[in-house]
Amino acid sequence: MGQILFYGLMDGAIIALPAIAFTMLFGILRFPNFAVGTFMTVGAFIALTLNVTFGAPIWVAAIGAMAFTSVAMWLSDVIIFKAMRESHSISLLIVSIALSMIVENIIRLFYGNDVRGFELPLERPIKFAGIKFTPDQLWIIGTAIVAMLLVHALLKYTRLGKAMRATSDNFALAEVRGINTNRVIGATWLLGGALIGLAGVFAGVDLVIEPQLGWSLTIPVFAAAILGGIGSPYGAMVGAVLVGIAEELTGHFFEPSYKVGVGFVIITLLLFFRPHGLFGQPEIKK
Amino acid sequence: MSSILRVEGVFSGYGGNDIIKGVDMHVDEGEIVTVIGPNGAGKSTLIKTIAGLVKVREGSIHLHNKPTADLRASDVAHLGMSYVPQEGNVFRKLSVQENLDLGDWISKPGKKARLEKVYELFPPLKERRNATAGNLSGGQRQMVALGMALMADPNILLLDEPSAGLSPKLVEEMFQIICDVNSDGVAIYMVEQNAIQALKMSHRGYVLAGGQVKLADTAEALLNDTEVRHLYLGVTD
Repeated sequence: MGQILFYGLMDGAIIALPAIAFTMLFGILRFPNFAVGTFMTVGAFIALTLNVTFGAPIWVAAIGAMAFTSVAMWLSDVIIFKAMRESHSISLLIVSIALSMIVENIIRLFYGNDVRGFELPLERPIKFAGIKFTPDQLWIIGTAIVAMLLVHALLKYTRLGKAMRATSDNFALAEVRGINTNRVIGATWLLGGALIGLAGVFAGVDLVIEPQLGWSLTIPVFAAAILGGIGSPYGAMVGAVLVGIAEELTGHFFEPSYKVGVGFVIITLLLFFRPHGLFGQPEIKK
Repeated sequence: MSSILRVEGVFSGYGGNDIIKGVDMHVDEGEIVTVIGPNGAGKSTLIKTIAGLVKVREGSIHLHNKPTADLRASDVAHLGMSYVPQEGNVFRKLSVQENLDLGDWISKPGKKARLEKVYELFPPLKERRNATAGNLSGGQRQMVALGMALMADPNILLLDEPSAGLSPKLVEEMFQIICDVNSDGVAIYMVEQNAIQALKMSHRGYVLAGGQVKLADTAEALLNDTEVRHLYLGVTD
């Protein structure tokens, strides 16, 4: 059981950061960005190039991946989404699906369809309190926690973070109070891209790197964000861990291939019983 | 007397349609100006246009003689204008204190004194400073909204229906507070349903209908105008 919970935590650590990015982008721009998964793939491949081709250690590769994905996502806004600010959220969702297909095929163009992996020193699994894990896995969980604490500190204590929360809460009012919401949007894309790039590296370490890496993670990321209450970064953190554990329990008691369905089931149940998620506030309808 | 706010020949609206069709108006220093008019007259659109949330298609707006028609709402706010929308006028997920802090986003000096002043004007807010704004009563939310606007230390306040949804007693209090704020030298431009009460405390008024100014006069003259009384103030005499 401890082992299952640990793997659940591990899954949660991988989807938590993109879930935070997804939920923050949704909070400000009011559309579900389907390209979140594909940008994780981008992060993984950039790190792969730095790590395998240029021989950089994985942490250097991860920083490079974060920077690249950050700018790439920001550019996706500048080039595509910015011109569509007034569009319906469904149109934007469809555009983001199209974008993810385009980006995925650009990746294929450069890297082909092969399955690859990082060059990491082989490490013997450690056994502690009946739970088996590798140092890599501990690093992933630890780094994810640090990243989440940094996001928390940003939101709570910095001027930019306060502007982000205000803009997510009430866009027009934030603007009226003197906050340049355009800059807040840009900063949110950059921050979200960095989180997603880092999570892509996590996924590449834990799984294998191939152009469809992000696809299988997109639905769990959505599920975590919706479970936590869309627009709530803290909810997304908790949601990610719960989705991760639910996935591992499913894999253990049924069959591992059912894991991919867990996200869908969670989303469906939530839409029936608690559409605003565990920590979100119900929308006020007039 | 110099005008703080000058609106000249302004057209604006949403989508392809003009809702505001050539409005001229002004607010002088220290004045309270009330805009009245039937539903759909464009009162809210006009106030949003002045605040910078609705694009000006034609005409000009000047705040302290600076043209603002092409500015973002956030830039207009930095010029000393504080707008309180009718709806969605607080950050619902944030605490009262965080709301008031955001009111001071422009960070003029003297924040501490202003915060004291806001808590003095609205004692219930001090008690509930850590409460989430979305959980407050309608009256208290209205206090947060006005308090937030005052935290910016504005020289002109734009109020869209400040008494909407308040009990008669609170309406009374709210108008008193608006008068107090005005006597501290803040010009007030407001749109009100409680037209008679609002005009009674105003220096001047405008009657807006069909997106145009139908009448502009002192508040007293409007209150005594038979046609205004019948058509817009709902008085039958």
